[in-house]
Amino acid sequence: MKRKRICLVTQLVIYGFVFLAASANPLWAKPQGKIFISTAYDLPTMDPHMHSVRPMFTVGWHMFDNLVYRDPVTRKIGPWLATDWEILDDLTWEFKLRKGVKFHNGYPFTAHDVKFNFERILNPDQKSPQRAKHISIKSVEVIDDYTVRFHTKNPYPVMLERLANFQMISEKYAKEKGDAHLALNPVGTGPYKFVHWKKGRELVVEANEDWWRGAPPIKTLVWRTIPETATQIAELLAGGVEFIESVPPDQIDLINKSGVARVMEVRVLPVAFIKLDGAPRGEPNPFTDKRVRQAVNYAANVDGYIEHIMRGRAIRIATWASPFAFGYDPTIEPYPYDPEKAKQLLAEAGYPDGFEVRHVNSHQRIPAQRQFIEALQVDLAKVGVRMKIQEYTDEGPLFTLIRTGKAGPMYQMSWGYSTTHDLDAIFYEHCTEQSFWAYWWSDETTDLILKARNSMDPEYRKTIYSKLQHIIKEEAPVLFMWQYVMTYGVGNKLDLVVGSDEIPRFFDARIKQ
Amino acid sequence: MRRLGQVVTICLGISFISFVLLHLTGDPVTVMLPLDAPEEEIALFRHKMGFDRPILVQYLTFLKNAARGDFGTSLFLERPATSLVLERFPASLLLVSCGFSVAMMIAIPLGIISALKNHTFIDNLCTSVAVMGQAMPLFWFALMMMIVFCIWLGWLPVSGYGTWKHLILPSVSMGVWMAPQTMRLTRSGMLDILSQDYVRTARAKGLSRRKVVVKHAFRNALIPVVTLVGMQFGFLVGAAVVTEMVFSWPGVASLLLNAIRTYDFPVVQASLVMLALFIISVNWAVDVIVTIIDPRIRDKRR
Repeated sequence: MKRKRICLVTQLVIYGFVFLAASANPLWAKPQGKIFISTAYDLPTMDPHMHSVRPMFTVGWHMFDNLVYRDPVTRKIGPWLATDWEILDDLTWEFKLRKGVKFHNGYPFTAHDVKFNFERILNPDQKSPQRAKHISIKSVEVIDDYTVRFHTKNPYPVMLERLANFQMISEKYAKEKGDAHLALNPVGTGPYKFVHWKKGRELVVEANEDWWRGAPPIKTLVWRTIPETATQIAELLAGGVEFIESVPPDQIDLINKSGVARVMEVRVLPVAFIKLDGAPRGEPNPFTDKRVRQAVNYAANVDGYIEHIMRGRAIRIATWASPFAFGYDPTIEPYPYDPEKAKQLLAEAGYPDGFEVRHVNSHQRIPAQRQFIEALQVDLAKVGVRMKIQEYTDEGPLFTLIRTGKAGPMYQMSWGYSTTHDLDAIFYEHCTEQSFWAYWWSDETTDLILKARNSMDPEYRKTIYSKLQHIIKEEAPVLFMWQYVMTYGVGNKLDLVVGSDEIPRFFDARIKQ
Repeated sequence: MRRLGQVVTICLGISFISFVLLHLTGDPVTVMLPLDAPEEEIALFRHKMGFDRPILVQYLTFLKNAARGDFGTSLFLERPATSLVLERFPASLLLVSCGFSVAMMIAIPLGIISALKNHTFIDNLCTSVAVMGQAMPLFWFALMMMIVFCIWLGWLPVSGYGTWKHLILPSVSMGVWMAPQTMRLTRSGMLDILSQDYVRTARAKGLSRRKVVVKHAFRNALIPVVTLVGMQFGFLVGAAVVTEMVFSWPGVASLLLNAIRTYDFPVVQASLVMLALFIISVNWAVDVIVTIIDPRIRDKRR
């Protein structure tokens, strides 16, 4: 009952926001204007279930709708296609659906569509890359046209988090046309209707004036594929596009001083860290000793890297728990920069003269990654840890090494939590033995992580996660670094909000007059 | 017949090397499945896609299908790789031929002028411009042009495809990149030939200077130039990769680069083999042109 009341309060808050947003765009105002958006990667398909790439999620959010919605400002999850929900017991959730919602082709959206969407994505033959995210769902039951019940295999506290990024398609349309047609001709319930897509060039969508939330303010959105960062910046400055992703730190001033565009800094969920093979997964190495892992944390001047290399665009964190994830404990302090202490710990561990260690690096998509690694190399050398850097321009080879247990003793990593704002999304993957991502774990952490994973009590989960963060900090399975601050280049004429989920809300954006 | 053998060998070689290299560095599972996919899921997926079979078996299966023109289906877009490449081909062809024309329009007149005005101010100017052109990285020059013509002057679009305006900057970048070498060869060829006996004879006959330069000297100087251009064509396709990336030009080269990044094997194979066929046919065309220009080679063959 109490849970339901909390739910009701958040709902009221969110209704308030929705009302404000809606009243800012009066019903009689027609959508107008056209903006160009740059995306660095080719969009793979128009089928929202058959990819797992961020630019396509952004596009998906504009043509389709999710069941629930994360407010980009408060980060709280509220209603969207689902208006209300209730947890019946640990394994059962009931959702009420919005009435009168229609797909772009006129088909109504009902509980049968919800059931179909989950059955489609969970079917192993569908080969959906998003399947693993929803694997905890056992079955979906239609109660009536606007009520669905989810049965889960185990208690599933992150249910809403996962539903916030899963777009609904029409059962009837999908069955009539088949997968090959869906991949090229998307039909959703969302704020924008599909117009045309020239792969590798551009995607054009147009405002859905019958959207259940009221027509979006901007009439036409065009996504253009522009692979080169330098070209994206030139386009932004020339007024060719109004939005670019990840501006490198050294280009920020250029854009801010241009008078035509600005850099929007957005704190996002993902975190960065450097893994140390403490298990060890690979060959025996010094990091199996806790004191050596702690020494690395004392020897690295992380605050210095944030200030001078990231130019302040990163938030120092004590462990790898993102401050935006459920269960984050703000009372834990980061390791101080203390090379003397590091040297002392290394000596105690039996490495008074230090040692040489391989570090695997991949700098794709991460701004200033190379400068940072070089600075770290210098700092670690001061205490005797000599990094030999092996660098890949792509993430692929590094992931192959990680999966086969050969990435140690040291490698660079960032973690996006699969956009799940909950510590389960990092601890389960990185600190339990069964996951190939884990290069350190203990029986105690595994036990605690599973307990939190199988409980529906937020307070209990919070206590466990706090305890876990204390243990993790002490054990130092990685070099703890920072939470990312994304830098987006946005044209001055565009009013836009980007959430901690890295999804820009173009459907709420407007062009300044 | 011998040529056909060469073509087959080259295509086999290219496909084999790229196949092995790609498979050694990783597989598309890392890109296609989410990072948190459970291990059983990954194993199942690899099995379904056939990535768990020995590499040689995978290659032979690929060859068998490729021989029928079927390079497989793109792993990301459920469409045949061959058609993906073919639909991108016209854009690349347009870019490469425009870049090539720009290069020739710069290189040949400048080469002739500097040979005729040997060791004068004009010659030195042309030579230094050529050295600069050669020393300039292609992408840097392209970006500089973007800043000047798109951001400062606002005359041209930065990137994209569609109108003649979109074509100017990419072709000029490629042209400027290719021109210096051709120009220097034209210049040295002309210089060489201008001092030949038959040129002196032609002059002695009282022919006009123009006629001597165009008909006697240039035609002969052209032979090494055409051969070099044929050889450079392969590099021009390489330059197209950079140009297409910088200007977001929707051609084969950018498709290829993206496919490599995502381990989309079928698309990589299809684009590489087709680019190779393209370069081979250009080289063959060059051979034919040389025989037309130079009757001596034609006679030798007979």
